[in-house]
Amino acid sequence: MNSVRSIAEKLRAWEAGRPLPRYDTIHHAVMPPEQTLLVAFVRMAGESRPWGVAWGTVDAGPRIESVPDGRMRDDVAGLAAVFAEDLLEHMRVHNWTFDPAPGKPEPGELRQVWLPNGQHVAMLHQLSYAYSQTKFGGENQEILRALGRLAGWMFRDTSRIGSQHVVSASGILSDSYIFPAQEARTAHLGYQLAWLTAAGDRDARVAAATAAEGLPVSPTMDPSLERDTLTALVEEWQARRRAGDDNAQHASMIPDVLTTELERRWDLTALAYRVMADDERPVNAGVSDLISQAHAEFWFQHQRIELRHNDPSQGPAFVAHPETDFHGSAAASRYLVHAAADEAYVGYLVHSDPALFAEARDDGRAFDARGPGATTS
Amino acid sequence: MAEVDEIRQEARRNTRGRFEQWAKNPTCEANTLSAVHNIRLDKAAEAAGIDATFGQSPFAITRGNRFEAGLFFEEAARLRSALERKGVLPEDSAGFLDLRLKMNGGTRIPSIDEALRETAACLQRIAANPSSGESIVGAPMIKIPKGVILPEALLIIDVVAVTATVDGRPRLTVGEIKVFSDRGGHTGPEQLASARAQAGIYRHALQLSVAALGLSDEVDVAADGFLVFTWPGSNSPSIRANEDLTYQAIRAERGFERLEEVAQSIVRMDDFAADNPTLIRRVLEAPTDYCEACLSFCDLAPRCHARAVSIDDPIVLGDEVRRLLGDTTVTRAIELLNGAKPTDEREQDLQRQMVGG
Repeated sequence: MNSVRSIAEKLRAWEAGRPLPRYDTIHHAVMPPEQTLLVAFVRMAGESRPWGVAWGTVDAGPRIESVPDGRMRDDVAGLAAVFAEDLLEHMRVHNWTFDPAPGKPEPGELRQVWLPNGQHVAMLHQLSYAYSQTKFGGENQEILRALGRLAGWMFRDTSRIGSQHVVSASGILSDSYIFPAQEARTAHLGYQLAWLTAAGDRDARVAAATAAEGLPVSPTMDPSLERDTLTALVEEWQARRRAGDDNAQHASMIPDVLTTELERRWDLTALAYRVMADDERPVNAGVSDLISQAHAEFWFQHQRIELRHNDPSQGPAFVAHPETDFHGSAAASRYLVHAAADEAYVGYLVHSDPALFAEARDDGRAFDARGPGATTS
Repeated sequence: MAEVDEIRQEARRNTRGRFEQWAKNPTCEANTLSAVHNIRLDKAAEAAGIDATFGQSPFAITRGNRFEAGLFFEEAARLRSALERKGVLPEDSAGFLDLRLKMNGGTRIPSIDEALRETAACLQRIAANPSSGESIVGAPMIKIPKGVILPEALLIIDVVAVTATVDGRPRLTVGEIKVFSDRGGHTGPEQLASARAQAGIYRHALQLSVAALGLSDEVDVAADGFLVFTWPGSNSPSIRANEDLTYQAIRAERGFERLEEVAQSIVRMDDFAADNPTLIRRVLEAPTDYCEACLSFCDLAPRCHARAVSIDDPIVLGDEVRRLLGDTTVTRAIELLNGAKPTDEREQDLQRQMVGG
């Protein structure tokens, strides 16, 4: 629900012909490129596991891997295992790196994973379902389970207000800018970035944003691409595979199509990262407290459990179920943690951001106290 | 006239889809005409020179078909097991009546007429002898009577579970099958909403059908239903039992009545003899009521958006902006924001809200 304040700001943005900053500060950590892994997925329509993944830092560029048929679970598991090696190391997960994250790291040590939008974030949940307790995978079973557990934690943490490890590029842009457009359209990362980066007046930006909107960003691709291009390639690849014929040519044609799709999603995420990194506004001073909270969550909800998981002398480790914890008191505890994070969020940020303070005051969540010789907010 | 007949046939088969399309923006006359006459919006968009953007992937269709076929395979063993586990069916349930058309993966039913006949016979048999009923009925087909304007319609219910009430009457529980992955509390809310809405339509239609057969006292149509989704990453069913469909069924009932009323006011009687290009022209010429929901389903939305921009309509900035500004144009609202003198109380109030003070 938009407040009247944000509607007025949207009108101002329309008048200016470009997106305007939403607050006076950035409300999220934006870590240096080497600490930020950008990840994008594509999946076959109707499937929940990835068909291809692009991952890499802004400086190094993406590594792009895919399989010929996203329904072939063994192939997808192999793809996921390759991705898992880099993701687990990047997140400094115990047993998968020589440099595991300690219990109390410095705020500057935060590792982030940026994804294009909420649908890509939801893919983390799908990975958790697929692999956190998998009984398959052969020699990859251990790393697949580790991937499932990490992806599960990352997904769960995104629902905690103020989380810092996982960033939805579309989400952070919406939090940081007022777009002169309908909410339903500004969920599209390409649309947002066209508004932010296209040159020219309002009409030129509208035209650029409308064109960008035509290209999907979600993990599911354009149905016409699957219908007109990929269906025939996949069917031919499968037919040759079943007949025992050479299908190498088709096996390389399918990734060509998927690579184009993955590159576009990854490039948009990289552009969103650059937009945020180059934003002239300072990161809110309260973000360092949010990072400390995020570090503590990572340690207590994941890393500590991974340590136990890899030390048989510590007894059986708790592996969170992707759907529920099956444990009332644990659920109650997490509820309170999330409620506290929600309540504290504005408190951390409001003192360093006059625009946020004005909004909080308009919403009845803050007040000015004026007395003789003193003003308190 | 052959083309008109084909349209009528298609219209009969696609009632649910057209109703849901209409319900997404019931105040748009173009949308209403499209739903009543079954003029596909992508075809209308093509005629207006707009690229159609909505569609379904063949992979998704294949996955859906495979999932549904797997549920009904071997006397619906997989579906039965899942329904029994969730308490929709008792543990000793038995019997599967497959009413799927052959063209939809069924084994016995060759035609729509046969499916309608067998569905009616099944309901009558169950009413007369509750113990004779199969516990799972796959794809029963029912007919909604013709309205004044709306054509007679066919609905294929995905699945019906047959159990017994405490007084021994047969109870029919509607089930909706979707290939959506069920991620517990994280399942897509829009997916849940659409599945519940569709199940509500089926429940309403089943109740109408039972009443039309004069079996309302003998057969109980359950107020709740069940959704059959997939367990993420597999073809195993995930059952959401005890879905209260009371209000969804009321929504469907009122929706059909409202659609009939709206249709009466805007549909011309000569429409029913018109050919496809004429009806497309009627849709394109009808007044529209553009809103953000149109972006999710209507291929004509770009045309409406361009019109909104040209007349300075606040909908270009979203539903909430239009709700606040009402008839005030975007340009006028910006003038008020910048301190222009209000011309009436309405503008004065708007300025006060936006600027404060």
